[in-house]
Order: sequence, then C-alpha cells, then structure tokens
Amino acid sequence: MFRRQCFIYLQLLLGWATLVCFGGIGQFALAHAGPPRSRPLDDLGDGRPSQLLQSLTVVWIIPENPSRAGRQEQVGREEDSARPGPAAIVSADLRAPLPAWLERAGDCEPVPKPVWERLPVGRLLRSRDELYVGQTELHGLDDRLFWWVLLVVALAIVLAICWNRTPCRDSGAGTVAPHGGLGAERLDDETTRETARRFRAIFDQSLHLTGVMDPQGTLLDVNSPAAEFSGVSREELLHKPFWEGPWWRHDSAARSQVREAIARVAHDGEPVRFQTTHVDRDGRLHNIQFSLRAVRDDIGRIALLIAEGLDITDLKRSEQAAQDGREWYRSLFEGANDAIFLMEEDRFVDCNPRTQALFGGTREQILQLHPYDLSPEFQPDGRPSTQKALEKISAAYAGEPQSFEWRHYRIDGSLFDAAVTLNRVFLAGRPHLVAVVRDITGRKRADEALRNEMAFSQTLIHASPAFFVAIGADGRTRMMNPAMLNALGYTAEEVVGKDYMTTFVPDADRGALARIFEQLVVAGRPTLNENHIMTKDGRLLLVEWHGAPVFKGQELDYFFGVGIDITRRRQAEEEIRKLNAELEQRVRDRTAQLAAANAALNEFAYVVSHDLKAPLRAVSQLAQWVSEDYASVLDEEGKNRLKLINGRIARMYNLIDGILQYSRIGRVEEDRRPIDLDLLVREVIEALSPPAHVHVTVEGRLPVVVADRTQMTQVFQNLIGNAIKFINKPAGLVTVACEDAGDRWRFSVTDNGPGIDPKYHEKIFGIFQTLTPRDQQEGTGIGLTLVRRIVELYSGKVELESEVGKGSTFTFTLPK
Amino acid sequence: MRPNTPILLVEDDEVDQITVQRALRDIHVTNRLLIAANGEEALRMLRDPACERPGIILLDLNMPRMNGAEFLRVVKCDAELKRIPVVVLTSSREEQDRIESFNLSVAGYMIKPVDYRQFVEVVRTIDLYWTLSELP
Repeated sequence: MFRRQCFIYLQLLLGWATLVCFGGIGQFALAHAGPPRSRPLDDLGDGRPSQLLQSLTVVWIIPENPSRAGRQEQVGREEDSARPGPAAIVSADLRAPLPAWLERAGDCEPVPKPVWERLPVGRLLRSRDELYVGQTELHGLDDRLFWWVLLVVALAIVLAICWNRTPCRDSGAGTVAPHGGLGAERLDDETTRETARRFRAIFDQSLHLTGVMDPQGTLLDVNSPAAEFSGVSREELLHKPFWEGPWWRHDSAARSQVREAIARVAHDGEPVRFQTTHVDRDGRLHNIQFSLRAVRDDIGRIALLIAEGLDITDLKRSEQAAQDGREWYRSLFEGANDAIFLMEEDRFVDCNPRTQALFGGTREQILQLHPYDLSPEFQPDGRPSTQKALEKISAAYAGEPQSFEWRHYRIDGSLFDAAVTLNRVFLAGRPHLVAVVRDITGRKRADEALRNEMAFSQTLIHASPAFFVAIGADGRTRMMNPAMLNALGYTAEEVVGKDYMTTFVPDADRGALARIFEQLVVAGRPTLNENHIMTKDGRLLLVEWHGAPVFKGQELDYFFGVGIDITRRRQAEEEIRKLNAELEQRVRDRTAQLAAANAALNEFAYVVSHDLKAPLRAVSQLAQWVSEDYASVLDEEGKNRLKLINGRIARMYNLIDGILQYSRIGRVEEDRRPIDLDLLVREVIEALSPPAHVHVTVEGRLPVVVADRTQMTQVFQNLIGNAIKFINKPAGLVTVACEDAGDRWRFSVTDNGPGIDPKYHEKIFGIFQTLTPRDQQEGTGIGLTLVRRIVELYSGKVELESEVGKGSTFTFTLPK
Repeated sequence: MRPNTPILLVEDDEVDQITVQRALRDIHVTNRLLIAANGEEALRMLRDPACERPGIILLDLNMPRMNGAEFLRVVKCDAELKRIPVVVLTSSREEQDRIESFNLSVAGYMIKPVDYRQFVEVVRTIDLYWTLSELP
C-alpha cells in the first residue's frame, strides 16, 4: 500500500519534473490515490456522496509572472523570459480539514480558499479519471505566496523521494523493476495493474513527446502525443532505432546527433539536453527542446533511456518577438531625446546616451552618482531637494507614477530645469524605477518670457493712471484697473460681474455707447469716443475712451477700453472758454471805453480849440479896438502895451493850435493810401511860398508811399518850413532828397542855415522846445515833435546831422 | 453887399458879434444885421413872417442850445430856407467840422482870425463873395 503510494508520487514527480523543465503556463495536475474509504465527499460539492476519496495530490506548475516578464523585456534585461516556473506539489488528505491538508506541505500559510475552491476536484471525481491536467489562473498568488509555494515544492520533492526510496530499500525486494518501464513490468495483483493503467494515462496525457528505449536506442514505447505528432501508429514506431523514427527523417545531422547522444547517455548515464528539429506528419518543421536521460535499475545499471521532446516552435517565435521587442525598446532607450535612468532603490543602474549629453558626463560618471548629486540643495519652491526627491521616489516605488518639474545640476555644476517622470518596473523580481528627464530650459525660458510679458502688462495696467476696463460680450464687467476703481470708488469685487452699462453709465450716455459697441464689433478696430461714467457716490466723470474688441476665434470675447479722465481737462477748457469770452467782453468794453475816451478827447479838443481860443480872440480884438478907438487918448507906451497883449495872445493861440495838432496824431483815424510824395512836396513848397532869397529844390523824383496824406504834409511842411524859417544867409538853399535804403526810403531835408549845436540835437524834438526866444522867432516848438511822432508811427526814426555854421540835415525813413 | 437884404449873424459870443458889426461898418456895409445868439433863435427869426428874410447867414458852429451843425441840418431840409447861402465863421480848425459843414452845403468856411485886421479882411472876402456870386 505504501509502496503504491510512493510509486504514484514518483510518477507524478517525473511528470512534473518535465513540466518544471519545459512546462506550460498555469498547468496543474490532480490525481487521487488510495482505495475508497468511508468518508463521504459531499463537502467537496460534487453531489455524489457515494464516492469516497482518501487523499488528493495537487501539483501546480506556476509560471513566472507574465506581466513581470513583460516589464523586464521593456528595459531590455537579458533574461530568458520563457523559462518555466517552478512547480508546487501538494498532497492533501481529504479526511482532514483544509488546514490539515496544507500542513502536510510544510510550515506555511494557507493557500487562499478561492484557489482551493477553483480546483476542479469534482470534475476529477465525476470523470473517474485518475489524472487530470488542466489550466487555471492563480491570480491570487502574490510574490510572497509564490516563494513559499516554491519552498513547498522543494519540500514535497524531498519528501516524495524519501518516501519512495526508504520503503524500497527497507523492503529489500530486488525483483522490483525500474519504475519507468511501463508495460515492461508484470504486476501480479490488481493494484499493480491499476497503477500501471494510471501511469499509462499520465504518460499519454503528457504534453511532451515522450519515448522509452533500451540503452541501444531501440524504441520500446512512445506516448500518444509523440505518435500523433509523427502521424505513424505506435505499433509501427516500436522496436526500431529511435533515430530512425519519422521525427528525424528530414535531417541526417539531427539523426546522427541523437544517435550519438543515445550512445553517450547509455554509456555514462548523464542526461543530455539540446535543441533540435522535428518534422510532423504534415512535414512542418518544429523546434524541439530535446532531452535524453538514463534510468537505472536497482543495481545501478542503465536499464532504460527516456527521451522527451518539447515543441518550442511557438516559444521560439515568441522569443523572436521578444527579441524584436527588445530591439525596439532598446532603440527607443538609446535614441530617446530624453534622458532615461534606471534606478534601483536610490541608485542609478543604467542610463541612456541622451543622459550623458544632458548631464554632460560619461555613463560611468553618472552611474557613480547618487540622484541627489544631480540636484541643487533646494528646489525652486524652496524645499530641500533630498526631502522632495525622497517623497517622489517613495511614491513611485509604491506604484504611483510620478510626474513633476525638477531643477538639476549638470556634472559641471550648471543648472537646468527638467520635467521628470518616475515609473516603477519589476526587473528580476525587484522593483526598479525608470526616470525620464526632459530638459525644459527652453520651455521655461519661453514661459518666463511670457510671464515677464504678462507681468509687464499687468504692471502697466495696474500702475497706469489711465482707466482700463474689460467688458465681456454679455455686457458684464470682467476687469477694472485700480486707477478706474479709485476714480469710481468701488473695489474690484464690487464691479466684477456687474452689468457695465447699467451700473456705470448714466442713462443719457447709454444709447450712444451701445452704438459704439456695435460699431466696434462691426469694424473690429479700435475707436475713440467720449462718455460719462458714474462714480459710486453718483458723480459723473467724463472719460475719453479708446475701445477695442477682442475676439476669440470668430466670436466676440470682450471689449477692452482704455480711458482718460478728461473731466478736469474739459472743465479747464470750459473755464478757458469762459475766460476768453470774458476777456473778449472786457476788450470790447475797454475798446468802447477807449472810444468814449477818444470821443471825450475830441470833445475836449474842440472845447479847447473854441472855448479857449474864443476868449483870447475877444481879448485880442478888444485890445486892438482900444488902441484904435482911443488912439488920441493913449500915449505911445499905452499903445505899445496893448500890442504886447496882442502878441502874447497870438502865442497862446498858436500853442493851443499846436497842442491840438499834436493830440490829433493817432487820435484821428489814419487813412493810409498811396501818395505821390513828389507831388505832395511840391504842393507843400508852394504853400510855404519861400522868400525869394531861399531856393528850395527836390533832387530827382520822390517815390510813392503808402501813408496818411495829412501826416505826410505835416512832416514835410515842418521840416522844409523850419529850414526856410531859420535861414540866415543871403542865398538860402534847401534840398529835399530821397535814397533807397533796402526795404525803406530814406528822405533828407538839408539846409545851409545856421546849424544846430549837437548838444541841442535831442532837445529840439521835445514838445514846445525852441532854441530862439518866442518873440524873436515865430514858432510854437511843436513842429519837430510832430515830425518825430509821425515818423515813429511809420516805424521810422528822425535823425539830425548838423554843426553850428554848417547847416543841418534832417533824415527820416518811410516804408516802401 | 446886396441892397436892403439883411445879414443874419448866428453867434453867441458878444465880442464876436461886435467884431462882425464893427468889421461890416469898417468896410461900409450898410445892410441891416440881424443877430441870433443860437440856432434855435435863428430858426425862430427865419420862420417869423414878421421878420425880414436874410440874404446871407454868417454861422458860428459852437453855440449853446442848438449848434451850427444842428441848425444847418434843419435849414438845409427846409425848402424855404435851404437856398440862403450860409458861411461858417468859426474858430475851429478841425477837419471834421469843415467836412461836416460842407456836407451840409455851406457856401464857405472861414476861420476867425485872432487879429482884428485879419478879421476885417475875412469879412471883406465874404462881402465880396456875396456881392459877386450869382444867387438863386
């Protein structure tokens, strides 16, 4: 009984060992052993309580975690991802509760119940098969479980071997044939036959092409897969040299290789493994992982050879795919424009070429560094780099992919900004981090330039004394700058979102402003307008606006207005306008006053000319009548005094006339028109009727000037008259001349009179200044004063050139 | 001087009245001299049917109540009176007065000289003019 059990274990172990070496994915086998016992199986849920089972052996072939293998490929780890996973062999005593079942496998934690429940025990029982091979996915197994399952496997194998050997040796039965020789052994009892039947089943259910041969290579048995593969029946295959089997028919080299292998294994008993090719019944070539091992009998002779072939064509193909994938990822890794690091714990283990360029060092230099060596002490946000990095790395190791910006040192100590991503990968079962570092200095610089520009605009808007306002397409206020808020007396919170028109624009201006908005949208160009805005306390400000629409795509986004408060300017303009009007009024008033004053002066002059002169004349005439009517009574002295009275009256009469003449200049409206001075001067000379001894001449022809006739007459009359009057020579000569003096005419009146001492040259132009006693020479002293006054009216100047005894020359200019 | 036609002197200054009287006497003009002290009085005399109409009017400009220019404006609008020759006899040398007077159709504009002898010459000239000039 015990031996049978051990035998089963051994058989299972052989199968599993094969699976261990070449096994598929997620396979397991179930076998039950032992005669029916009294325990019902209803707790296994198959609903057939008549079936009793004593024990159950479970083998798991647990593959490597496929996802983990995949990640390894991604970073190009050179590992054989197709390596089969370890197998777990667990026996269960069905009479014991679940924990007891597990205890037999070793000191370990329980297999999760779901795993246990998924095993198709019921199906095994129903089919009454003794071996079941199936697949399941054991998702629940975490890494830790995986390791202790391995441990369990190891323990189970050891136990199985021990149990197998110990009874064999202890029994001392030398007749026992090698256990692998199915069909070659005669089993004398029912149990043995049953066992043989079971192992036949296992043999044929194997996924491997399996054959058994004697040490000479004569094929003793093949399993069903091998026969099916070749397309030849088992009977035809047996008892022939193995290398002449149909699997090798395509390749003599393979044949000789296997032949040599058989010879070698048969000789020294060491198993061999190699890869070769088989052709199947359809002639297709398969890649085969081939193994050959020897089975010794109890006395250690090599009794049998077992050949096993595993079709690894698909494996090869996937290997190729994996290889391609590795190439692909390798090229990405090598050619990436971002620096890519592989980190384990907090150490660099690999980096790509771009890393060297970015950090400015060799791969070796970089890999010697700690990640913190490539960071400044503090990050731009002020946090210590080590602390922040540790956070990020820890989070990434915990399975949260990280993406953040980081300031890095280059090897030469210069700084640059980078965008970094951290992702966890499992390589060789250990967590690693892949760090991708992208240089974003350029982007940062552009960002900063943009930020600076934004800041500049913001500053401009905030610091400007002008008003800035943004009004959304819906009419709501989006933004107002501090200058405008201050002027209106609102806070930003109070205005944002308010309807601009109804909140800030007085009724009277709304229609016009609405039209401006419409025009802005239609024209799409900035416009200029003025309107009032209301302050919080109800005052009105007049603002000159430069408005512009801002479009988002084709749609109006908002209106932007820049305004200047022109309330004061307008007030000032208004004041200036008023002042001007006032001033004009004042000028008008003053002019009227002046006109009145002039009129008064005229009136005064009239009064003077008449009312002052009339009494004088009366006195004069009365005195004259007295001297005439009382001539007989008056003596000479009396008559003489009456004459003196008349003389003084005449002088006073002349003075009054002089004053009137002088005051008339500039008081009486001038009448400037072209005057032919040649003609005028001749008339003057004629009017003066010079005495016979004085000769007055005009040199050349005098020009035509634009002037007031009366004034010109007065000038020449006085100058020529004076010259004639004062001549003291028997042959007097007065010359009137004119010369061109650029833009003016220069006139001169020259005489050969007594001349004037230069010390009097200025004095003679003063009013009522004469150089001779009044009674000697008739004259009021007004003449030259008049001349100078008139000439100055024409922007000219009267000059005198004279010496005593050498005559005098008066010159003056008039405009052409 | 035209016989039996009185001369009307419109003059407020008594000395000037005497001067004219004396000058006429000196040059032996015997026509009756009517004297009015201002324009109003002169108009009254001119329009008084009982008063003989003068052949010539010697007119001072500066007078109280109605001055010479005002008098002229009335007389020159009066169809009965406008043809009587008026000679202005004044002390004003103002251009304005001359222009205005001639605008009002005076027959002459004489300035009263200070000197009596010259005054007599002026009166003589007027007499001559009045004597020689054809009148309507």
